[in-house]
Parts: sequence; C-alpha cells; structure tokens
Amino acid sequence: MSLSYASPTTVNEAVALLTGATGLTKILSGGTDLLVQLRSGRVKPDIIMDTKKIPGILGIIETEAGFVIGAATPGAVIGEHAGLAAAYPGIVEAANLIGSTQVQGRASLAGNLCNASPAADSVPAMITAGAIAIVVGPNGQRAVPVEQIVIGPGRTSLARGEFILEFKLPKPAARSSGAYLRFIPRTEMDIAVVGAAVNVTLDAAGVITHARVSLGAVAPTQLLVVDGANAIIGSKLDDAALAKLDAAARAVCNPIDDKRGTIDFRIKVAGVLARRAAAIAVQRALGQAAGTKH
Amino acid sequence: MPDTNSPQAPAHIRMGSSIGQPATRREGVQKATGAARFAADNHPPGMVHAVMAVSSISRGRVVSLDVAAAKAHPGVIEVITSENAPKLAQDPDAKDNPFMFRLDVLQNDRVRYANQPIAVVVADTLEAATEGAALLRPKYETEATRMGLDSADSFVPPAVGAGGPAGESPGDVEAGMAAASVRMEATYDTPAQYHNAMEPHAIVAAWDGDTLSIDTPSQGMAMAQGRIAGLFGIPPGNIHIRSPFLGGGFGSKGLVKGPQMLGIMAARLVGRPVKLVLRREQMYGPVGHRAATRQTLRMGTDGNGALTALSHHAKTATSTFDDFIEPAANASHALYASPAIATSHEAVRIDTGTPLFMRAPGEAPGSAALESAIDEMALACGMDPLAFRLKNYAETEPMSGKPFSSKALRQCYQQGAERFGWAGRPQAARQMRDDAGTLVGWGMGTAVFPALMFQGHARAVLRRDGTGLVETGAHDMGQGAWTAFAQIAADALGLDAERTEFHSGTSDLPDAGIAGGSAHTATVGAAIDGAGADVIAKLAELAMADQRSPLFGAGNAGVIARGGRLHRRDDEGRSESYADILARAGVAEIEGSGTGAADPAAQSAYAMHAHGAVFAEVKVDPDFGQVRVTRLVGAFAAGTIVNPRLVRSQYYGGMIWGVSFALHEHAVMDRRTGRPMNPNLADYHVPVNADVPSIEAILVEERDVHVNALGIKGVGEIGITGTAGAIANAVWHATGVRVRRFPITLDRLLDA
Repeated sequence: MSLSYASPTTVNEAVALLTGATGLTKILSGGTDLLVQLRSGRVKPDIIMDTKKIPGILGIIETEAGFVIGAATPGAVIGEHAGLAAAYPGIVEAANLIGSTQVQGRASLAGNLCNASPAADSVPAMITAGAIAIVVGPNGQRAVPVEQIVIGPGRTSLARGEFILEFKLPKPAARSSGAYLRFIPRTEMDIAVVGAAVNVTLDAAGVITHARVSLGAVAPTQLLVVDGANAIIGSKLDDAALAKLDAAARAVCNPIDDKRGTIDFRIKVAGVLARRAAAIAVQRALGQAAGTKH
Repeated sequence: MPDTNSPQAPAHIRMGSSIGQPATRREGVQKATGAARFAADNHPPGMVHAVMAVSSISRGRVVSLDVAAAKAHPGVIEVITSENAPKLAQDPDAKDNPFMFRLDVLQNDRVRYANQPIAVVVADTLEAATEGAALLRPKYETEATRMGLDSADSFVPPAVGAGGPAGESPGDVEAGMAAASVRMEATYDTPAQYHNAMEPHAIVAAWDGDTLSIDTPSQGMAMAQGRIAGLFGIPPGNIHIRSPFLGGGFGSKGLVKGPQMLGIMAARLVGRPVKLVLRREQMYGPVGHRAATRQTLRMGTDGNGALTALSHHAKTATSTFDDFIEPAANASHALYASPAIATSHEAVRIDTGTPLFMRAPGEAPGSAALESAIDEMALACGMDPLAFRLKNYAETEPMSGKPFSSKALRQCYQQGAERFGWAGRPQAARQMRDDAGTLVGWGMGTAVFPALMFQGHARAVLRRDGTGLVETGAHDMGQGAWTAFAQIAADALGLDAERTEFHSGTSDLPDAGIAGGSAHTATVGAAIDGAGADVIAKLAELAMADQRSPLFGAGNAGVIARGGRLHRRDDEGRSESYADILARAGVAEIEGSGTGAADPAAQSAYAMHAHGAVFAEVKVDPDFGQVRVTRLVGAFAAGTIVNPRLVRSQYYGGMIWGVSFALHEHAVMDRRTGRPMNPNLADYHVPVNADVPSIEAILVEERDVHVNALGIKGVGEIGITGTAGAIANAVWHATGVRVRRFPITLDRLLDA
C-alpha cells in the first residue's frame, strides 16, 4: 500500500495524470476535508493530486462579464475581496462560515463542492448566484451549473480525469443581491443542520423579478427550489409571499434523522431560514442593511 | 473585559506585597512563542514512537491480533499485546488506598470498556506506529453491553467521591415535607462528559537501568511516582518526572493513567526512549470521565417560603470493575438552610472506563440540578429567585450546623445582581423579547465549593547577596501556579518578586501534593509561606543576637521582613538588609522548609467554603429553540485573592464550563456496542468563543482567618457551580419551558 503525491503545474499535465492513474485518485485543493479523511482512515487513495500549482486555480479576477474564482482559492481570500462581497454577499458569507479562521486559510469552493456533503455551506449560495463550474478533463473544457455537480452524498458528476478549474459568476443585474443562512446548535464551528440561500433581483419599484432559492442539508444533494423562487417572484416579499416560500421550501425537503437534527425539525427550519434569507437578500438588494425580519 | 468594581489590592493586603497584584503569567511569553515545552515536545535522542490500539467493543476479550502484519510493516520495532507484555511487579487491579484506581495495561486479554488499550505498537516514526496499530485487526469474543442508568440493578455505594458517606440526613425530611404548604419534586438528568483538555495525555519515558525519566503532564507528581514505582518494582526516588506545563488537567491528569504506564512499559521493552500520545478519540475511555446522573430533588416550604425539607437523591454509574461515585447529591450540603436535609446516592455498573474526577466532581451536576430545583421552588412559592435564596440563606452550614469560617455570599448576591440589573426582572416567563423578536430570559444560580487543603511542602533559601529561592514541585495546569506561587514566595521571604527565584514543576523538588480540589494554591501557598517564615525566623535570630545589628535585642517585639530588610516591629526605622546580616554572620545562605495542610482544629470548628452568585441572560430563537447565552455575571468570594487577573481567568473558565454543561457537552453512547459516538471535537461540542459573548467576574472581598494563614480558598472549580443552573433557569424564563435534561438542546426545548 503506497500513496503518491503529485502537484502538476499545467492543466494538461494534471489531466494526463488523472487519466493515466490506476487506483483511487483524490484531488487536493485546501485539504480541509481530505486530510481529515486520510487521517481517520476513511479514504485510502493511491494518488493525491494537488491542484494548487496550476495557473489560475488560485485567486479572483473581476471582469466585464463578472467574476472568475479559481477553484482552489481559499475562503480567507474570498472573504477579503470587496468586489465579490458587494456583488455576491451570500457566497462570501457562506464560504466564510466553513470551519474556523484556520480552516479558512485553506478551504476552497471546489473542495467544499466536490466533497459532496449535503451540508456544504457554500454550495446553496453558489447555486442561487448561478455559478458555473468550469470543468477540465480529457475532452477539454465544459461549463456545468453548480447544481449539477453533486449527485449524492460523496458523489459528483465529474467523469474520470476531470476536475474543476474555476467558477464563473455573471455580473449581477442592478438591484440584485443574495444571502445565506445556516442553522447550527453552536454559534460557530459546526456543520449545518439546514442551510438556505436566496438570490433576488428587484425592479425599480422593489418587486422581485428574478429569484433563486437553494437549500442544503435537507436532501442527499443541495436543492434548487424553483417553486420557492416562483413563490416570491412578482411580490415585494409580503407576508403571503413569505408564507408561500416557506411552504415551498418545506415541500421539497427530504432530510434524514441524525444526531444533528430530526426530519421534522429540519423541514421546519428550512422554511424559516428560506424566509429569513429572502428577507435579507431583498433588503440588501434595496441597499438596506441586513435586517432580521422573518 | 471591563474591570469590575473590586479593588486590585484589598485593604488587608499590606503595602508592597506581591500577593494581590494582577501580575501577568510568568510563563506567558514562553507559551505565546512556543518556547514552553509541553510533555510531547520532548524528543530525547534515540526516541521512538508508540501508538495504542484500542478496543472497539466494550465487554469481552481479545481473541486475536494480527501481530505479524503489524511487525511486517516497515519501521515497526515491537508490538506489545497481553501475550508478551512484561508482567508488572504489582497487580494493576490491586487497591491499597482510595486514590488507587484499576488500570488496563495489557496484563490479560479482557476488555472492560470501549477504547481500552489492547496493544501498543512501537516504531521508528509516528506514521509507522499508527499504521502498525491499524494492521492489528483485532477479533473479539463479545458479551452483551450494559449501558445507561437503567441497564443494571443499582446498589448503594459504601462511599462517594473521594471517600465521603453515600447518604446523610439530619432532620426528618418526611415530616418536613408533610408539614410544608408548598412542595416540589422533579428529576434532572445530566449526561456523561469526557475530558477534552487541549493537551491529550502524553508521555515521553526513558529508562536507564532501574531509573526512569518521564515527561508527562501531571497534577500530582509524587502520587504518580508512587503508582509507577509500585507497578514497575522500583523505588519512587528512581523516577524523575518533569511536568512544568499542562495543557489543561481538570482532574484527568491527577492520577497517572493506564496509557502513560504503557508508554513506560514500551520504553522498558524496547530499551529506548518512547513517546506515546493519546489521539483525541482515545481520551474517551481510559482516562476518566464524568458519569451521567439522574437526580431527584424534593423540597417543601412553609407559607413564607422558608424550606421545611430538602431531599436530594442521585443515581449515577460507575464501571464494572472499580468504584468512583460522582457525589452529586452532596451539592445540597452547604447552601440552603432547612430543618431537614437528606442526601443519598445509588449507582449502577456499566461497561465504561471508570468515571473519575472531572472539574467540580459532584458539585457540577449536583449544582445544576439543585439550582434548577430551587428556581422551580421559588416559582411555586411565587417568589423572586433571589429573594427565595435570601429567605433560605444558611447562617450556619446546613448539614453540620457549624459556623462558616467566612461567607460573603450576601455580598456576592448583592454585587452580582446590581451589576447584572436583576432588579428589573419580570417574575413570569416569556415576558421579554429583543428588537429582533428573540425571547430573552434571566436566571440565576448560587455557587459554592468547599475550601479544601491537601498536604504540600516547600523549601526556601535566602542567599548572601540578598536574593531568595523558593522550590516546590507544584503543578501549573494553566491556572497560573507559576505566577501565583512566585508572588507568595516573594512575600514569604519579604523580597521583591524580581529578587526571588522560583522553581517548580519537577518531581525532585519538595512534594507539593496534588493540584486538585481547588486546593493547590491554598496548600502550596501555605507551604511556601511557612518555608519563608522559617528562613526569616532563622535570619532574625542571627540579627537579634548580634550586638552590631540595629535589631539587636528586638526580642519579644520581633521583626518584620519587607523589601529585603528586617525591621524592628516596634520601631520600623531600625532595620538592616538581609545581605548585611548574612555577611556579618559569615553565613552563605539560610534554608528553611514549610508544610501546608489543613488545620484539623479549624476544620472541626468551622465549615469552609467559597461562595458565589451567577446571573445569566439567554436569548432563544422562538422558531428554532436555539439558545444563546448573551451575558454572564458572576460574583465570587473566595478569601484572599493572590492574583486578581488569574483568578478572574479561573472564574471565566469555570463559567464557560458551566455554559458547556448547560447547553453543549454530552457523550453520545451507542447502547448496543458501548462505544462513544462523538469522540472528537467536531461532534462533542464545547463552547467556542462566539458562544460566550460577554462574561464578567466580580471579585467580592472576603477575609478568612480560619482556612489557612494566608486566608486562601480555591477558585478553580466554583465557577461551574451556579452557572449551569443559572442558564437553565434563564432558558425557562425566556420560554416558559423547563428542560430537566442537560444539556438543554433545542430538540428538548421544542419537544417539551
């Protein structure tokens, strides 16, 4: 039993390595999940491929079209990017809820996504932001909406030889914003019992014209809640719209009972968090400070 | 943290004294820069690594281990199992004193609890030893596990805690209950809790013939020497222990544990220094824990809210092979006046490691239940919880009738309540909300902890250059022993702190006893004080007998030692420096010794306790039942405060532990296998910084002339007591829901 480590410096080299490898290959970004799994003996890979020496995989670029976030960019860098925080506050607050300050120095969006935990904090926020994963592999590049990456706990849609190089986020429309909330028993350093993200775009009158709602930890994968978005589109987020959002969120939940929360509790929390996240997103879109309406 | 209204140096602390000063930690820079060497930081030449394999079953025996596979792994030097482990000089199950607990050190193939060591792999590297241990693939013969307080017949233990009686009942509780106009009865559950000091148990052991050198965190080096000596058949004096710093002890490092013995055994077997460090999950078994309790409280009051009876019964668990009974009901001994009090215990034997001392053993779960029950009784009487406690204030110790050596609890109540703003509290539940609509509640609890002393020794030397040296084998668990004892040492010799050298933390220094029971500062402080007084007395004798000294003939008037000089007590203008006295006498140095121990006469005459009052504010999310502690104010009276900065820090730590007890900590045990299901810091929750937003500790002045010469009571454990109950009571006040099962998790709050 041996374990080899590689740190390719180009995409082609990385793809060749992944394609040619035999046995279990694990991709190392920040390593905040992988190293823990290695130490506990839960995974026994034959090859660990560190992506961080591949150009472009670290850092955030703001362009005319929006943002490009390198797949292995650590949470600390994401948290300090003023432009991204203004455009996509939900992503930044979600990414910065992962682990501790120390973990933030390493933990990445691609790692959080590809670890494929239903409770991953950044994923619902990425989904509602409309983030596109740029996947590279033996057949070149393909652009995949983030909600199509995870297909089950610990499983992704990435094919053999593929990995995520970067994420693309569109330039947000005027009067757009987002929010992510999670429920944990402790105040920080914990795994989400439920997570909820909402992104909205308002018209000049404050009516929601576009919305995306996503829930985490209430199903085998993060959910894009289309009915939830439809419940609030066309409204100013009045009580009736919030109640419909709450009901739509609860309706899609298919959670498990575990030591972190029961099925009933998770379903209830999902509805409340969706309402609260929507309220914050709307207030942010209106240029107001985040409030606490629920 | 805002400063509290307590003066830095209380009036009874004399001018120029080191005691009472808020000195920063002497070893602070070392710790902050990484220069402080903790046990596992020591890597003697030739050292190899040992890793334990532990049992995944809780009852049965080990049938086979793939020793060949482990030995075949590159780097593995030796695999120690019950087949080849050296037989010890003494049966590790033998007990010849109440502080000897049975150890599992590979002397047979029996498994008595999950995570029990079943083998040790020694290798060149930690990685090789870890892999070797994983390759052992144990097979077991498994017997049915007994878990939980209802899994076996209970028994009345002969003794509880460190040897106290299992039951006491002055007065007639049943008559008191019958006569009461208001009664309450309720049962409270507290969970098993496991030790999670930042530093896990670790040992670096090196043999040289029959002498043994050890780096290991210890709260009691002399006791460790004795235990190791017995097991390995060598004299205690052949064992040298270095334990200058502990990354937390909390009772788990008071007695040397089985895994440490295995490190010593491994070193002997391979003939090289060996390091063995427990993995976090290995802490959940062989190093002691706090057992679960189920406590039933019954109280009655007369029409004025005065208690007529108080009954406190605790059921708890111990291991199948040893006895440690969490003395939870004893929390009702010292606090509330009642003409009839009964405390009693029963226990069941389950397949866990033996529960042992964990910070405030007995008092922590006992106080959580008692303070909750007092709150319920106050409500039943229609009284404010503080008014109810004052109504039942004990002027003498309820259990014994003895007067208190000192008791400033009234001042604690008053100062704490004022600082917190208790007077504005509505009596009914669910009356307060914040701007965001979150439910707000206020609760309180009384804190109490006995002022204990063990026995400890110290040595003091005054040198010809006028500098001093004080030595004692004390234990700094992070509480600040290095700093506080150096302050006491300086005062004991009448020197400035900078002119007093202080040595501590190794077993070749005078035996300082044990750092436990919140008694270390009082015990070792008294020893240091005595050693200094011994030196000064000898010095004064020299001076007073010397016609050339301005102190000649001071005789009965005596002298005072201060600032490196002796002064005539009746004429302080006449003085002489230590250096001059020693130089003229041609004496190179004067040595003295001192012993600290409780005074039996004072103990039989007085009840001795530290007291406090804790006030808590919680906010509860009405949708989720999510509880956040938003404010904690504690006011504590514990005699002389040697160092207010460190004492506050001890109170904060205790109160945070109380938050943990009330809201977070609990071991989840698999009833089928007896394995802990959350043996890691991701799943076994303790509070993080964000869980403790505002915490204040008020140092209430108290002078106690009976506890010991310096008037010191303990501060290490009292902060837990009172706090857990205060939070539980605040949760009720916020929500109207009384959760009687700790920790108060949101499911318990919502399901109620």
